[in-house]
Amino acid sequence: MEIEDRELVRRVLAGQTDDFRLLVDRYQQPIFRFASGLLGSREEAQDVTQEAFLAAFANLSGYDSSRALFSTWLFTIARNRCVNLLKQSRPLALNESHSVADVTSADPIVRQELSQQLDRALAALPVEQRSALVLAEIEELPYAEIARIERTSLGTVKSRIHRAKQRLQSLLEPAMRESR
Amino acid sequence: MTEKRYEQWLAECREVAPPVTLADRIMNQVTKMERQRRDFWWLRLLQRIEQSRAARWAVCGGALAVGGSPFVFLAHVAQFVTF
Repeated sequence: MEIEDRELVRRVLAGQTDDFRLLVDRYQQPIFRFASGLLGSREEAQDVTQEAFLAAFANLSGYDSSRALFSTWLFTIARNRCVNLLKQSRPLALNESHSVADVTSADPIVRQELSQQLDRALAALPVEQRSALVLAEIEELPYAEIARIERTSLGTVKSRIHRAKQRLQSLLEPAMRESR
Repeated sequence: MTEKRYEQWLAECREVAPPVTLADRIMNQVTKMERQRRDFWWLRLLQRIEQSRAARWAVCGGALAVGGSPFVFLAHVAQFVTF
């Protein structure tokens, strides 16, 4: 039987540090996937995943299991790290940025690869929309949990995801037309 | 067609896995942090006081007892002592 996160947190706080490994094993892939989707870089995603787990360990006594799931808390830490990183390194990514057609027009081979087009389209989304879309579509989290991670209302989350999908579609249309 | 490709792309994204060594690296750092924390006994004491209400009461009670002891001495004990 799987030990609950709450119990594992209690054990780690009681001094059984090795039990933190179970939490790492359980959540490293979702956190890495989320960071990877948000940042578009495996190297940066690795760093963010590592930092998120270390921050969680250092502040574990501040985690309140009655307020949020451990996974929600961890995703919130990872999200904040990703946003900070994007702000520091790529301020443009926070705003409406380039279109897919602009990015890929120089390379006709890349243009044919729709999954690469989608990666680029995702990277072109504003960070709030990108984060909500990754959590909803790739991580398949419920909207209520996404709202907690994003620290916003349920309505805002729904509208961000809707707008992200619309924008993704509009960014992909030229590429789709060209690939036909 | 687009919908199918989109689903395929989502499936690809869900398959993204971290490097196999990542968990070990995290746990190495965690062990290091824990060792550093143990080395600073006063830091652990501070954390204990911060986390536990009983510990906070004990510290306040102790401080009150130490701070009030000269007054207790003057009020009750000093009269029995011949100087």
